[in-house]
Amino acid sequence: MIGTRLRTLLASPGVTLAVAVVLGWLAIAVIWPLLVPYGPTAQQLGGRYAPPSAEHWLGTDNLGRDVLSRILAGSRSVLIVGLASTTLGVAVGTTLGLVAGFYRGRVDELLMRSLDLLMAFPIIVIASVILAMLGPSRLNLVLVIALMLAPYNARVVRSAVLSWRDRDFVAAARLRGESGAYILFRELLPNIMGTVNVEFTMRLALSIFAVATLSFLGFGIQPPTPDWGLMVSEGRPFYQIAPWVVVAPAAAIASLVVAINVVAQRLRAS
Amino acid sequence: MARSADSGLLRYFLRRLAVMLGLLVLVSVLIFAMVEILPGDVGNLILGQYATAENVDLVRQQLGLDRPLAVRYLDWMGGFLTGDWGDSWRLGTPLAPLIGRRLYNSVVLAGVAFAFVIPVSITAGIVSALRRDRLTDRVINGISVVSITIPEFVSSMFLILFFSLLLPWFPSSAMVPEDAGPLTTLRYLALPVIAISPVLIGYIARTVRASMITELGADYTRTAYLKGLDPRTVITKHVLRNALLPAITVIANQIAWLVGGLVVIEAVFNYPGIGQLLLQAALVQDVPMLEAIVLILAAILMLSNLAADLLYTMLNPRVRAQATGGAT
Amino acid sequence: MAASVRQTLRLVLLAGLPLLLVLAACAPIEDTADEQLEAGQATGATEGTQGTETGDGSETASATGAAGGGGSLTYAAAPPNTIDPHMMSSLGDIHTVQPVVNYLVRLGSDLSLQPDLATEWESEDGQTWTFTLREGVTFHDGSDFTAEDVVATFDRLVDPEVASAAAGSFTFLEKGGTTAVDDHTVQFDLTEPVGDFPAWVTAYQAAILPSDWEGDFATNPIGTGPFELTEYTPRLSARYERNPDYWEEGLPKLDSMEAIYYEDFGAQITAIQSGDVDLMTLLPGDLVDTVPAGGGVEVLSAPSATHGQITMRVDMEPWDDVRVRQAMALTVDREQIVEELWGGHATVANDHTLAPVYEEAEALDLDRRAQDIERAQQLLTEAGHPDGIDVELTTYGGIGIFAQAVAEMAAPAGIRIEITVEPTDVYYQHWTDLPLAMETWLHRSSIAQMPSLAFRCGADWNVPHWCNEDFDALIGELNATVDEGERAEIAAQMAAILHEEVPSVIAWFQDTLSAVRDNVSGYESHPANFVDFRTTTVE
Repeated sequence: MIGTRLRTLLASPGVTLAVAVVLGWLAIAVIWPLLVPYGPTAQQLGGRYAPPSAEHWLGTDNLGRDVLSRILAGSRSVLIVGLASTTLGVAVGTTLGLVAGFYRGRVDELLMRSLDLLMAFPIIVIASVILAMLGPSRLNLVLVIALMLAPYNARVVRSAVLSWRDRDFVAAARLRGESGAYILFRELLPNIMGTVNVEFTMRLALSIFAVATLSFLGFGIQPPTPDWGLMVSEGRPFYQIAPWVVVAPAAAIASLVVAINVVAQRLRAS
Repeated sequence: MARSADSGLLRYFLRRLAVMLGLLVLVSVLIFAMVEILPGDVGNLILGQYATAENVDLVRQQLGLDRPLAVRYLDWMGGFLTGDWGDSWRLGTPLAPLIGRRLYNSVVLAGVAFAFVIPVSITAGIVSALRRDRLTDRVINGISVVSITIPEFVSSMFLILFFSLLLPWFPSSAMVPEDAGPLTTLRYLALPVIAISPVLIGYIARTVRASMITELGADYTRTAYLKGLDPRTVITKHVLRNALLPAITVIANQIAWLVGGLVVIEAVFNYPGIGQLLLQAALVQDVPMLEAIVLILAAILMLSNLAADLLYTMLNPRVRAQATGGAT
Repeated sequence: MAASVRQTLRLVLLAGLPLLLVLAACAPIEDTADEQLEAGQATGATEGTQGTETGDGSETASATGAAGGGGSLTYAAAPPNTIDPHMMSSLGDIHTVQPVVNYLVRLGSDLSLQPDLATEWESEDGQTWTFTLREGVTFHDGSDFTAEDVVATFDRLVDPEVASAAAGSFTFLEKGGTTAVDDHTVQFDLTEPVGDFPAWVTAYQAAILPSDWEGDFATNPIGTGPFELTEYTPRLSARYERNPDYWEEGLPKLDSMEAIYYEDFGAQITAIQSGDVDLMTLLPGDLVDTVPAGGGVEVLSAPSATHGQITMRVDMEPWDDVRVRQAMALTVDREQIVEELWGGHATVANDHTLAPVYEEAEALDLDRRAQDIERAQQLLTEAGHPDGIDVELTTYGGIGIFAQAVAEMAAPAGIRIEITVEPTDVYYQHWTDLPLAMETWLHRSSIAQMPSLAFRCGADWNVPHWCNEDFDALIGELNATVDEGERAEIAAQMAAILHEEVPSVIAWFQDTLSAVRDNVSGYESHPANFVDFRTTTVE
C-alpha cells in the first residue's frame, strides 16, 4: 500500500520535486552543522551587509553573519515547531473528531459548536493575543498553534468517522462489550488513518505558515537563534541596501510550504 | 403561500440574529476571561518606566481593578453597549474614536481588496471551468494552490522587492498621505492589496470553478442546449446565476481570512488599520484595547457570515424552502 | 404585501453585505479625547550643587514675529504614547509636544543653559532661587504669561495627587514651594541646596502651561511655543500652524508642520528617502549605514552622553563577584561596536558615565578597558567558574542588535548569553528586577544626575542594585561643590569607582542622530533629543 502511494506521489515531476524539497529540508534540519560554512551566529562586524559572493553565497546580514548558514540552521527551528504543533494539534483534533463522530448527540453538538466558536477567529489574531500574554517561547508557540489547528482537524475526522460508525464491525465490537476508547482507537482510527495522514500533511503546511508568521510578528523565536520568520523581520529596516537578508529566508519559507502543500494536495487527490 | 414563506424567512432571520447575539455574549465573556487571566501589569504600562509602587497602586484603584471580575465584566459590557469603550491603558485616550478610525482605514483597504479580488477570482473560476483540464485551467489551479500556502509577509517581501526596490513603481509603505487623491491612494494601496489577494482569489476561483462544472453538467443545462438555445445565453442566464451562489458563502467566509491577513499586511506595509492596532495592543498588553478590538472583529465576522447565509438563503429557492420549512 | 416584505428584506440584505463593514466603521469616527489618566514622570533626580548662576537675555519679548514664509515641514517621529506635557516619557511624546511649548530655561544644542521664558535666574545659597520672567509673552489662547502660570505648572508637576514621577524626581521641591513674587518674578524655595537647579528646569516635562490648564494636549494644546497644535490623531499624525504672535521676533520661520508617526524605523528611512517626509527626528545608530550617502538625505550628528548599559544584579549570582562583572566588561570589543555598528557615530566608553561631552570629563585619566578574552577567562576561573557561566540577558526591540553583538563577543570567554527581546513597554515593567539587562540611558544635563539616578544606594532605577557608600558620599560632595576644577576631580573619582566595580558595562557614548533631506535647513540634532524647529526652513 505504501508502495502504491509512493508511486502515485512520484507520478508527476512537479510532485516529485515537491517531495524532494520537503525531504531535503528535513535532511538539512538534521545535519546542518555538517553543511554550514560558518557558525550561524558567528559575527563579522567588519563585514556587515556584504552582498552574495563566493565567500558568502547569500551575503551577510547586519551583524556580518553568513545568511546561508543561518538559513540552513533555521530549517531546524521551523520544522521542530511545525512538526510538534501539527502532531499535537492533529492528535487532539483526531481524538475530538472521533469522540464527536462516534457518540453524536449532545456531546457532538457541544464539541462542534465550541470548535465553531474557536474557528470564528482568524488564527493569527488569537495566537497573537495568547502569545503576547504568555510570553514568547518555543513551547508556547507549539501549544498555541496546536490549539488553532485542532478544530479544523476535528471537523474533517468527525465526518470521516460518520461514514464508519454504523458499520458491522463497530456494532460487533459493541456487542463484545468493548470499551468506548477501544472502539475509537482500535476499530475506527485504523480505518480513517488515510484521512488523518492527509490531514497531517495539510495542517503541517498551515502550521509552518503560522510559525513563520508569528516569528515575523515578534511572538516567536528569540534572536540570535536563526529563524526564517525572524530573519525576514530583522532584515526589513535595511531591505533596501541588503535585500538578500530578507529574500533568502522568504524564499526558504515559500519553498517549504509550497512543497508540503503540493504533496498534501496530491495525497488528498489519490 | 408566498406570505407564509416570507414570514418564515423573517422568523429565520430573527432566530439567526438571536443565536448570533447569544454567541457574541459568550465570545465577550471568553475574551474578557482570557485576557484577564493572562499575566500583565497595567500600572507600569500607564505610568511608564519610572513608576513607583504607590503610584501603580493608585492607578489600579483609579481603574477599579480591585473590584471583582464579574462586576468589572458587567461594567465593561455596559460601557461597550452605550458607546463608552473606555480608555486605552497605554495611550490614555478613549478607545472608540481611535478604533473607529483604524477600522475605517481597514475597511477601505478591505474594500479595495474585494473590489479587485471578486471580479478577478470569478473570471478565473469561470475560465477554468469552461477550459476544464486544459492548460489555462491547470495554470490557474496551480497558481491558486501555491498562493494559498505562502504566508502574506513572504509574498509581500517579494512584491516590495520587484515593484518597489527593483522597479520603483509603488511605495513600499502604505502610509497614505492625508491629502492624497484617489489615484495616489490606490498607488499606495496597490502592493498590500496584491499581497493579500492571492489567498482570497484562490479560494473563490476554485469554488466558482467547481460549481460551474456541476451546473454545466446539470440536466437543465443539457435540456437548454438540446432545445437549441445559444450556448452563450445558457451560460450567462442560467449556469452563471446558479454557479455564483456558492461563491457568496465563500466570499463571506473569506472575511475572516481577510482580517487575519490584514494583521500581517498592515504590519508589513505600516498601514494604520485595525490589524496594526491589534498587534501593538497585543505586544504591549493594552488590555482594554485588545478586548475591544477582538470583540469588534468577532461581531464583524459573525455579522458577515449571517448576512451571507441569509443572502444565500434568499437567492436560492431550494435552500429557502428548507430554511423556512424548518422555521415553521 | 408579501412581495414588499420580501423586497425590502432582500434590499436590506443585499445592501447589507458590503455596507456592513462600512457602517460598523463609520459610527465612532469623531476624533476627540477626554481626560487623561493622571500620571507622569520627569527626567531624573539628584540632589543639587550649591552655587549661584545667572542667566542673561533680553527683558521683554517683541510683540510679534513677522517673518514666516519658511515653507511647510513634514517630519517623521515615533508614535507618542501620551502628549500630556507633564506625563511625557518617550521620544515620540517629546517630539510632538516641544514645538508647542517653552521652558523657563532652554537647554541649547551646545549643552549651554539659555534664557527662555525666564530671562535671568539667581540664588545666594543654592536653596532659594529667583527667576525673572519674560514680559509680553502670550499663550496660544491669548492670555498673558505671568508668574502664576509658572507656579501652577511646578505645583502640578510635583503634586503627589497627580501621581507624576516628576514628583519623585524633583525631590527637593514641594507643592507650594514655588511662589510668585510679582507678575514677572518667581521664587523657588527648595528643601535643600541644588547648585545647578536651572539645569533641572530644562526637564522636558517642565513645559510652562497656563495656570488654568486642564485636560491634555489632545484636546487642549496651549503653550507659549512657536507652533500651535491644530490637529492630533493618536499614532497617526499631528498638524501644526505657525504661532503668529510668537514672542521671538522673526520666528518661527516655517508656516506649518506635520508630524507623521511611524511604528518602525525602516519605514521612516524609506519615507525620508522617497521624500514623503523631510526630516527624521531620530535615526537609530545601527541603521546609519542604511541611509546611502548622496541620496539627498543628510545625517545630523550631535555627541551626547546617551549610552547603553548592560546592568548586572550585584546582589545575585553570579554577578555578586566583581571578577565576573569585570570579566564581562573585558569581553566587549568597544572599538568594533563604535566603528562598525555605530558607523563612527559614537565614542568608546570605559564603564562609567562621565562622557567626553561634559567639560568635567577633561580631568579624567583612567586606563582604557580593552577586549581581553584571556584575562576574562582567568577572572572567571578565579571566581569559581572554570567552565564559564550561562546567563539570560533581557533587552528590548530597538537595541537588540547590540545585545546580539555583545552576546557573541562574550561567548569565547565562556559567558554564554541567551537573549530575550521584549517590546519596550513590557521591558520597563520589570527592568529593575532583571538579573542581566540592557537599556539605553538618555543624556542628562548635569553630571551628578546619571550617577545619582542609576548608582546611588536604593535609587529607584538602580538596576544593578549596587550600593557603595564612598560613591554616595562623592555624589553629595559633587552636589555641594561649585568650583569647576574640584567638581571635575570628584567626578573623576566617581568614574574610577564605577570603572573598578563595574555595576554596569558601559561600552559606548552614542551621538544623537537625526536625518534631513537636502531641502531642509536650520535644524540640528540635540544631545538630549529635544526638537527645536524655530529656525528651520524648507525649500
